[in-house]
Amino acid sequence: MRSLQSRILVVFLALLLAVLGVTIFTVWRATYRQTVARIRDELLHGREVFRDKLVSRQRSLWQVAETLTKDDALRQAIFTDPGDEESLFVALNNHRLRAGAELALLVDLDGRTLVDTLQPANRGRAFPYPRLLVPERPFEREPLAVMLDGRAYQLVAAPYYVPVSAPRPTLWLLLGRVLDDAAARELGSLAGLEVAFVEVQNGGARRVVSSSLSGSARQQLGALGDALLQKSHGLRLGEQDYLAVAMPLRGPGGAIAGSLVDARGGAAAAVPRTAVPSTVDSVLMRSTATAVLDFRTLSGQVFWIALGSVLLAALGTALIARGITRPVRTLEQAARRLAGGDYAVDLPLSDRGEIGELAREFGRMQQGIRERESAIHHLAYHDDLTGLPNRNRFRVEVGEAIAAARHGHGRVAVALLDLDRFKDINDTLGHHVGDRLLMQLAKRLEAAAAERGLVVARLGGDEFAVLLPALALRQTEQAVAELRELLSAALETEELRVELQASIGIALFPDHGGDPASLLRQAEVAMYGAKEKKLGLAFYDASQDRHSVQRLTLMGELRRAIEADALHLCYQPKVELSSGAPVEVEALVRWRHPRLGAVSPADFVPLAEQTGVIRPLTRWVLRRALAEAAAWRSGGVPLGVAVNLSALDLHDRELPRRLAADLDAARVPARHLVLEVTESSVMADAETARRVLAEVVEMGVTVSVDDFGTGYSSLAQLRRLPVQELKVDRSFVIEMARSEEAAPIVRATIEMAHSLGLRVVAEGVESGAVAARLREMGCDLAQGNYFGEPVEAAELLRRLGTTGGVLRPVELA
Amino acid sequence: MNGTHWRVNRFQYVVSDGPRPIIATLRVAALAAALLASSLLVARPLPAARVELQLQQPNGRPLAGAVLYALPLDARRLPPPAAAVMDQRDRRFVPQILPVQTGAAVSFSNTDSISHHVYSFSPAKRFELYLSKNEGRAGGRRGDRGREQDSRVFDRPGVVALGCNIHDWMLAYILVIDTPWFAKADAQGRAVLADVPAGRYRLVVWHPRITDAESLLQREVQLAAGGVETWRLALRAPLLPQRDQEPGFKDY
Repeated sequence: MRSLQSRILVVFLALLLAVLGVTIFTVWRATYRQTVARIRDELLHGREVFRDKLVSRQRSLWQVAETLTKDDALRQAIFTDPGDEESLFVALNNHRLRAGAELALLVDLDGRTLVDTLQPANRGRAFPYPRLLVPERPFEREPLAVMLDGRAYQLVAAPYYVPVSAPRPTLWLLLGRVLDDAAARELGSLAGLEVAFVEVQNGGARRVVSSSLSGSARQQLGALGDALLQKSHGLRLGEQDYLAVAMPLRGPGGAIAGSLVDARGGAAAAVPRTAVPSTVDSVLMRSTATAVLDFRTLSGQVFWIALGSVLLAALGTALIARGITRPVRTLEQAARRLAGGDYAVDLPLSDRGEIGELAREFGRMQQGIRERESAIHHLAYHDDLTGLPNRNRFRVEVGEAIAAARHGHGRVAVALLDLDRFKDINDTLGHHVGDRLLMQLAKRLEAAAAERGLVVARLGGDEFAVLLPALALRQTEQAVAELRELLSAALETEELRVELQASIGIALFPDHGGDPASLLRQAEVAMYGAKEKKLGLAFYDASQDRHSVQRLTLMGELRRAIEADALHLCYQPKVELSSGAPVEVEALVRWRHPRLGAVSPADFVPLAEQTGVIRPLTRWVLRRALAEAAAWRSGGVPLGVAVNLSALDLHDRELPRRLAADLDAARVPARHLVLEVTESSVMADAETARRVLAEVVEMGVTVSVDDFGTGYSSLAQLRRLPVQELKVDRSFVIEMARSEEAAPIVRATIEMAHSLGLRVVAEGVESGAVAARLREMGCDLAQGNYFGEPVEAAELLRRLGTTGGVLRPVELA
Repeated sequence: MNGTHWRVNRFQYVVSDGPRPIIATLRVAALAAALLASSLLVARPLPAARVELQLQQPNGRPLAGAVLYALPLDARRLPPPAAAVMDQRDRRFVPQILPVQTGAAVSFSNTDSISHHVYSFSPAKRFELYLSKNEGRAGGRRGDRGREQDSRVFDRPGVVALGCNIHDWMLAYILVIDTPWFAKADAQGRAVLADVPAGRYRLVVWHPRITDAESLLQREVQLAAGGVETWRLALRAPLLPQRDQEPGFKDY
């Protein structure tokens, strides 16, 4: 991770370096090219100077030669006494010296050497360069050199006319100037170049004849090939670098020197040839040392300028980068403190430009976070519906109150308020009404609490809690009583007026618990106790607690078991006594608790009735029983099924509608369903029960009164109820087997029921004798262990299958 | 010193260009008359043939000055050679081509008012002759003396090229041949040998600038008495350039 500052620095410097690199490279290359071009120009210009110099040397040499041919004394020497060779040699040599030439030759028209001042022995031999012997003066145009006796000469031939104006030459007079080291140096210094003369032998071999150079450089020159003729070339000779170019010295067309083919044909060919002559090239060299030195100096300057600009740019970039990163760093620190929850951070808001804009935006974000956090905080600690503190908040408040009480040795009271039968309101009037009532209630509580310095919270549903800190017990009682009054006052909505009762449980610190959680739980236990005993208000009682905890726990588990479909049903057949055939089965719920094992319905059903869990339980039983009845029907076993209803179910005005929906969903005809209700439950709110049952019966469902005989209801009352069946309580039937006293009661009951048009079912039949008696008494159906204990659906079907539908023959004693 | 002297001579020549020496002209005319008389005496016994040459350069123009001569191929006695004169006039040799019979004496005279220095390095006759300027005083006496001193006998056949050591452009040829029958082509390229005795001859054409092969330039003929041999010779090779032109003053 590199910082922004160093990244800016790196990027900027990289860019600068790239630009500088390109610039330097371009300048360097241009300069280099210019340098090379300058050297080349100097070289080529020098070559022209050199060429002119050579040509002018040839011209002046020729002029001397031409003048010599008119010299009387020399002519005398040549022609007066042809036999006197020695005189002729001396005379010619004398004139050669006068002319400043190193070589003088006389050649006759046949190409035969007459006099050779350098090699007198050549007399009579063929002159090796017959092409020079033409009157056209080739040397006036192109430099021309020949090899003679191992040395290079500039050689010109002047025709010897005798007399001077004769149309035809008589002889050729040749003068030569040697191209030795001194000549190379002289010519080179005129052209500003180094000069070498190279013999190019007929086979291509090269040899440096003379040069202005010395030492090894001179030797290395010989090794160069013909490539030098084409264009300028870089060379390294000895310790020096040169640009070099070659120039052949072969006369116009390159054909004058070196050729043995005589333009005049036969005559020269007759002359014996001596050797195959070589040609001569000149090599011109320009030292690059000074130019390159200039170039190096320039390169050095450019380098230092570049270095300086890079350093300056680095400094500037660092300053700019710091200007950017400092406020960014401030913002970063602010963000870090913000993350830690510190909203009071100073931001560089005064900064102009992007950074300032960023800082201002940052500030707005900080403000937003602050607001949202408080909103979240409110949501977390307050109830959505009423705006009162919620359970979490309440727990915190209790904790704080406890801490304060510990200091001042005071007390803290936690009161839990639960509205009685508020569920009924929700169910009958709808949740929106319930919610509105709760909100009114909350307002009322809040106002009262504020008056008294209490804390009120809604823990959920219709459950409220009140914290009464540092109060005497009596004061507590009084305050709570006031609250209760408050709750009991009628609530009004647009349409209706509702009167509510609340049950209140109170737990005290330090008397009952030492921490918020236990105080809350203890208050809840007390509240349930109050509700159960219809006390309205109860303080926590430790003895009550153990039981209540277990029960509360159990109910929670039962609720979860219902939700998880973890209960199951057993069925006990109801047998038609006249035929012994089972016509119905009674569904009995069983709960196999994962920890406690099988829990008796006698234990959990009353508890469920108390705590309201009975409703979901009933609903579950109904649905399951109907589903299984449907399965039997489709399997060819059309058994009716009986389900027990509790008193709470009977007060549920939604029951008929739900029942119809369940029947419809299971596709079971209503006549196959029997609802068994207890006598007491019907009597508790007879009017509501009658209405509900009437609706149910109208749907075609059979209603049966269970446990008949145990309550205090009268048959007259029964008659007002839409009931089709009556179940004689098992206690009477069991008693029948022991004494004769019970039989008349049973008989009377049966007859009476029949007279009311009710069907009679006897429960608790455990022997054939009893069954026979009951049949004799006219009882319609019987149920009991004699015909079969409650079993699960699969077992029931198995038994029905093995007995052909008759569970047990009724013995008629 | 020499150079200065020469320049003075040139100057004098220019101012004295006007008068022409009459005596020298008369002398030449007398000589010619004598020659003619003697040749008539010798040739008389034989009937003569006539040879006519029409000479043409390769460019179609006639070539003047060429020498046509007939070399007798049969042994015979030839008449004695006639003397001839080579004059220096207007800084030129006159004539520029002078055919003479072998053994003839040629006298050199100088009509110019400047000195000449005649020389020849030709193998046929090497000589050197200094001719003082003609000052125009006591001409006859000096002329007589000069004739003795300034005459040379050309006793070997061949071409003798004459130059002047003082004036490089001056050029003349004395063609020494073994025959008295020769003639020079006129401006029309016409040369005529009017009285050649009948017999067998080699006819030769010579001119210093001709470069054609010898076979073209000579032919053998049988000349009958009273006959006319006509030779139309068209040269093929280009002539050598003329180099004997006096440079103008501008060249100095």
